[in-house]
Amino acid sequence: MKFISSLLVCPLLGYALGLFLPWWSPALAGLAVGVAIPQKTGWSFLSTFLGTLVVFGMLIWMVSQGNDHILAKRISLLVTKQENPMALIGISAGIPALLAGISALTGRLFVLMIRK
Amino acid sequence: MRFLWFFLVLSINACLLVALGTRKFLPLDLGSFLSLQEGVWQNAEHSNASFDDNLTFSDLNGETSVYFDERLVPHIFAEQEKDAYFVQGYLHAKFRLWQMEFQTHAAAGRLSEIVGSKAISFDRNQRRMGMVFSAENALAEMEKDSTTKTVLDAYTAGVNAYIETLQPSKFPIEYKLLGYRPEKWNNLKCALFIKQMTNTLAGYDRDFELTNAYRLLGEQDFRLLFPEIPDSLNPIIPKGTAYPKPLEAITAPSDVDSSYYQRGDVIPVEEEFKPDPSNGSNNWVVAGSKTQSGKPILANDPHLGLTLPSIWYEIQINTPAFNAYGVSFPGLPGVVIGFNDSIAFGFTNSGRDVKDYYEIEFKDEARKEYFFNGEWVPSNIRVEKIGIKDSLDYLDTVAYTVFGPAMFDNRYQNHLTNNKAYALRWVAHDSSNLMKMWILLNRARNYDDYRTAIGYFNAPGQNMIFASKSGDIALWQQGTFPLRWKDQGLFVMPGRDSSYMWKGFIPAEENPHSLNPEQGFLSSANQRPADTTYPYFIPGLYEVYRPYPINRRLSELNAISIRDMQDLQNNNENVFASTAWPLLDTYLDRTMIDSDEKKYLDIIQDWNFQNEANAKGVVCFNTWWDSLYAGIFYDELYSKATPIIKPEKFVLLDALKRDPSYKFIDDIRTAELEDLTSQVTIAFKKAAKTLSSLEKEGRLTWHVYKNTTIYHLLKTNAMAFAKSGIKIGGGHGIVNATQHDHGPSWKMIIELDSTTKAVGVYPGGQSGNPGSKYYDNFIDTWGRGEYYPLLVMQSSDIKPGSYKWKMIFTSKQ
Repeated sequence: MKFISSLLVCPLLGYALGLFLPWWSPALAGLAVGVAIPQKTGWSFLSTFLGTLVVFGMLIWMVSQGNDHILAKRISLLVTKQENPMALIGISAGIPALLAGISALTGRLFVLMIRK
Repeated sequence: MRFLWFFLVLSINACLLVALGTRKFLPLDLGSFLSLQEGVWQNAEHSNASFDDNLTFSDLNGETSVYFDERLVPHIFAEQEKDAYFVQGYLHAKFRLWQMEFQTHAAAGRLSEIVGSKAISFDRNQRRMGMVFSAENALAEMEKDSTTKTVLDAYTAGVNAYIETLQPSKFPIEYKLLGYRPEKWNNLKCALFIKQMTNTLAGYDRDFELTNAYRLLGEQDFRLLFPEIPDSLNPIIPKGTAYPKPLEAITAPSDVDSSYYQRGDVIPVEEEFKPDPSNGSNNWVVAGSKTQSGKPILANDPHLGLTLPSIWYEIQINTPAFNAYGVSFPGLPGVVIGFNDSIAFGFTNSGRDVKDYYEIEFKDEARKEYFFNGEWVPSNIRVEKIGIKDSLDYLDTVAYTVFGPAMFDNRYQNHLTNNKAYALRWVAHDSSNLMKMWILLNRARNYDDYRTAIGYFNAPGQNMIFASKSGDIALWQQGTFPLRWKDQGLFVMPGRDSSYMWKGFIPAEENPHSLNPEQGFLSSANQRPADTTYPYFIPGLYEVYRPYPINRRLSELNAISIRDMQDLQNNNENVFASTAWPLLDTYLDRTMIDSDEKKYLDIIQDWNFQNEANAKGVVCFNTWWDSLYAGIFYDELYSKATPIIKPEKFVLLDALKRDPSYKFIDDIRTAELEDLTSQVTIAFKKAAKTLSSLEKEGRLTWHVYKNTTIYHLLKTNAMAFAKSGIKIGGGHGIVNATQHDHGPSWKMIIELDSTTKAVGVYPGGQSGNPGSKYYDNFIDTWGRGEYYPLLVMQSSDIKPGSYKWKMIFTSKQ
């Protein structure tokens, strides 16, 4: 249950914060979830990482699909030197996912550290 | 242990945030750049995006409706004329903001602010050339005129109205890529844009190169290599036209032999940034007597560097005062090339030399005084502050003289000694209300209005072509052209006194022109405007061969249609090759050619002298000619410590046709005496080796060899935003002037029938956003040599279904 909660809450919170805060809002969401939802450290990372990856990945894919991947083709060529929209979508979702996961881990370890 | 884990993970987290949030470790701040909510994804325009909008602004006085057609071309219908310019500014910014700002930053020598210290030399060149000085002078003159000021103010307000509503997440991609933000627009930027175009079209000069060539070669060889007039001249104003006695006469200073025509040391100035000498255009106009409809047809295709976003933005502006359609420059109000309900107008570059250098002697290193008319006179010091991204400002001090800025001094070119410097005298520095020309052309109704309008334009000198619904056709070469004694300004001039200064300008009424000629057509293709009977000395860099097919076809054709004019704009005839071929054919020693080499000769023999996309003959011919050119000239010209500027292509062809024992034929590096037969044959054998390599690489076909590419303005730094490998013919000196990255940037044909019929196309798209399907959607049509019908909307045409999107701009009370 906690895994599912953090899987869902983290990306939604990250997205909501992103409406007002800069690009690092998924990190803040991850930190909050890591502190607030007690799980084993590994699960804390995995749930926030996966949740953000899937939700952000879906949202970015929808944007790119609506754009016929015109932009993704060009930016992927710029960033990865290959015309590969899916790789760009993966990287674009992977960054907030990694930030969310590491931050959740940081939050969780912080809680464990101060409890002791 | 938990402490350790926590701090370890915290450190990783911090490193990740720093790595993704800065450009210290990665070339891009990927966290922000790829962010869904603030990064490039915000620029991914939905393929079915709507451009409908309702906007209110306090700067507006009435209502303005903008109807977009399916190509995203806006048709502005404004109740108030001033509002139309406001809306044009808003639309330019909405679709082309980054381009507008980047181009004006480049004009002002401010690229270092964006890209860092690698642009310092470019920025210094712009500042030292006096680009900002020139724009300030123009703006002061433009703002003295209340009409021009009103137009500029309204346009600027429109641009800023868009910038003010722009959220950082919606900044154009290039701002995100380069990591900066837009600044407010102002009228000076409009002036800077004009000056950037002036530099593009009237900034090329060869004064230093020709001076050095003269000093190294001497009078006789110099005249052989750099003739003023080609044998094959096909001038704009037909040969044999009688010119009246000149209103102004001018003579050379008495010491010209000792002070001007002198052998001696070369000038060690190195010019790093020069405009492309290919910048030019075609335009022509046909009278009703030669057209199918009985009404005039006007055609124009300006040849510029092909870029994305395109330099052009198509637009219709309808106000109570006028209804103009055509292309505009993002960065300037009005329609620049186009037509209205009464007339059509277009431009080609005059190619005239309006830029000279004077040798100055400063009193000392401080450059506060220079020697002039027998005394030390104070210079005006202008300190140029060049901002550099992530670094301290660079200060460059430029001394202004009576001639203009001392562009080249020892602070800029350290080869210069003895406090010598070279000051620039350029027509572009002179104040002029240039903008007024377009304001008036957009509303011109007849020939007289056109004449009044073009009188406001000083530089870059243009061949301004005109047609009216009333049946007039005309062409004026318009601009401010210095009055020169023979050879004045060909070389760097002494600047120690006023004797070598420009003494005035050719009276405007004596500029080459024609109105309703008997032949029923007029054309220009950057060639010399007039033959030797024109009573003024008019040096420049002129096209030789491109006018031929134009004038021949216009002369042959009758009952001309728009379709005929399209074919002419797409004409691929290579006049140079067909003129040169008999010579090569005659002098090639075929007994020296082996079977492997012969196949390339066969390709040329079978070629129809058309630079078609799939032609191989053009690659074979060009390689052969280039090899011959190098064999004949390089030994004499490149064997010296200072290489001599290459003579133009026509020089060798004219010379060899005239004299098969031309002085430069022998290769002075060999013991043998080469004749034309041996040079042509050696050149062919060398060319065959090159062609064999090209064939192995699959590059023998013209379009593959040429690889027509439309670069993004960031050039090779943004190839992802460019389009290359466009299958198209043409080339340098061809009516279809498409080269590798240069060519017809807008092709337009207008038939001035009772209902205007017009077609046009440019290699780009209306949107400057690489994330939009409207970014480059015209390129394929352009590449196929096809056109779009231009939808000239009238108020009565407007009904649901006649447009795709509608933006309404209203006044905020």
